Amino acid sequence: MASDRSKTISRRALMTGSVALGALAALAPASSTSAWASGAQQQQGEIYLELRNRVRSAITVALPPLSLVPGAEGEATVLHEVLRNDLHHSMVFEVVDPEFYPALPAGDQPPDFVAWRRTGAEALVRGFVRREGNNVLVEFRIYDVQSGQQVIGKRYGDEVPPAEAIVSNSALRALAHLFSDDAVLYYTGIPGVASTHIAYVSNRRGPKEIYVMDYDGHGVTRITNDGGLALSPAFSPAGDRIAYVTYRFHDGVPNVDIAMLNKLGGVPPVIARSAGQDTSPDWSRDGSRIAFSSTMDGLRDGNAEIYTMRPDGSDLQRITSSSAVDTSPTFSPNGREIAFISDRAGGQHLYKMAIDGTNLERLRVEGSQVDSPSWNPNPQISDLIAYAASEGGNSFQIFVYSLTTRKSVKLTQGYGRADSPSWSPDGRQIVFEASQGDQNHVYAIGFDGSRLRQLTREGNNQTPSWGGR
Amino acid sequence: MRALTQQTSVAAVLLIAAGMLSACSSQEPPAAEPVAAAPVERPVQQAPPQEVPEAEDWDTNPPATGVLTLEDINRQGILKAIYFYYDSADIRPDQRATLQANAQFLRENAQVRVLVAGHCDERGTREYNMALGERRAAATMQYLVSLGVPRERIEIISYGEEQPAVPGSSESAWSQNRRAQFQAIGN
Repeated sequence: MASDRSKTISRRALMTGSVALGALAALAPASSTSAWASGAQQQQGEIYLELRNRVRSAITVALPPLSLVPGAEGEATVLHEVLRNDLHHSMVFEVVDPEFYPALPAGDQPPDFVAWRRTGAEALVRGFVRREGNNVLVEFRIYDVQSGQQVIGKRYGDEVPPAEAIVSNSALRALAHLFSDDAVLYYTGIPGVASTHIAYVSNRRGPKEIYVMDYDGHGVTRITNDGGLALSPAFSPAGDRIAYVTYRFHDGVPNVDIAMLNKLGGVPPVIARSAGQDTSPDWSRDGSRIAFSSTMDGLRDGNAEIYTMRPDGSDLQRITSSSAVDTSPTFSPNGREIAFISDRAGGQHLYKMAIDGTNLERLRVEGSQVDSPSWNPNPQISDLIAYAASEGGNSFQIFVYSLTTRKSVKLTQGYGRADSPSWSPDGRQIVFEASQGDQNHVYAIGFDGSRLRQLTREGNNQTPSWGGR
Repeated sequence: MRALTQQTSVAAVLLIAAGMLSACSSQEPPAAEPVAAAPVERPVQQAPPQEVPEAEDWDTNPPATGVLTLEDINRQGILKAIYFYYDSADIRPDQRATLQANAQFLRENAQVRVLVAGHCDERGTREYNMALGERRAAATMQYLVSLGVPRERIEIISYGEEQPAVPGSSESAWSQNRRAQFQAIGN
């Protein structure tokens, strides 16, 4: 398939037709190949059938080793490995098995596209890397294999003065992430998420504090120093702030409040400090409101209700009013609805309501003891809500419920407890926590249950929130 | 830290505490309660306060300062933790004696306020356990109020499953993690 045609079709599908379909078709770009329905995907069991049936094929891409000038072998290896993982995990590309790659010409000669067509690849990524003093110069291109046309070309490092040269491993990784996101943007019309970050809670240095890592688990930084308990981070959609639950002491007594971290540093100010417990913050996608759960009006019996407020804590509004415990709010992509958990019917169930509390509806999803819902932030696939639920006994797994089909699909298997799902900004991936034995770690998985990988290794890690750039 | 005036009843309770200290590891607040207490099926072994020797015994062994601070109360574990059934915030019959002793101490020491912290075992989701811990703390508070402790002297908080007293995934660990702890706090 010619790339311009592929591009046209996929963009149209993403921006118009898919909305009417309300289906996962919007997640994957259009393509004539059947790579998606073949190979490893088929082995993942019947539970993914429902999702896979709604997904069109990914774009097949070939990614041969980078061409390099001697002296840049290490850089070439890092860039190649990171980019290959980024493209694979994007859920937009299927990287073709390198065993069948033809040789590339030395230097900057045009590839033999006749030979590359036989690999089944629709797109060919060429990379070039060389060192110039302390600087590293990198160029990436994507060719449409059918037409032989170059469709993307990016150069990095030309304008970087030697003092700020791209030499660190993290800088090289960031560069590969940038290019992967550009490639996803070209083929789907929506930027990829390889340059985004994930906030989570870890006890690896003692008390539970908030940490931030790259979307692939690299570049870990601790960002709170509360010294007591810091829980439930919620990354702002713009990626510039993190609301979280803090057990800070007031006059010697700890209280459960919501605090706000920003990139400027300093002690995060408390934005919700009621006499009750203020927990489980979630951002509206436009960043204008925070929904949370609080017992401020239910101090006697610990009865939590759903509230919203501005990110500075002003304009507090109570949304629910029931004798039951209402928790875990999550905004719809357009900000007009909130899904949440309530035990008002006995047991924990998933509900949704309008932002003013009207139009309450119970969503009869699969699993029991339903909790931790996360509404897909991508407006084009806004019918999907991820959640954790028991599949029997104490085994909790991650499910995805479609408001369109009214069906649930189980995404994970075999964990003692999988919990706290959070969608990537483009809605194609989910990050979650899961326990195996006495280990609790953060994992990421594709929307269809494929491409599972473990992101944390040290300490115990929990409640991830996938944020912006 | 606020100091308390010495009272006879304080002395009585203190002696109970001193007698039980050998079975308890001393920890600094707000760390977990001693772990030796209260498996599920067995009632807590607790001597009723009225059976304790009277004040003259206290006089033979007074603290150097002659006052009992909040730190003392917490370090010595005077206010004992209570334990819950799985997925329940109901006060267990076998835990009532502990609550009665705690309530009596609080009634007789009007300067002491208390923070009741509800905790859960690791089963179930994190957010559910956060709510369950608060229900446990609230139920404990109401029980204390029913025993005559003024509501305004009680604060409650939930730690959900985030601060287990005992690590691990055994029934033994779970039973010791489903608890409400008491911390004396200032005014």
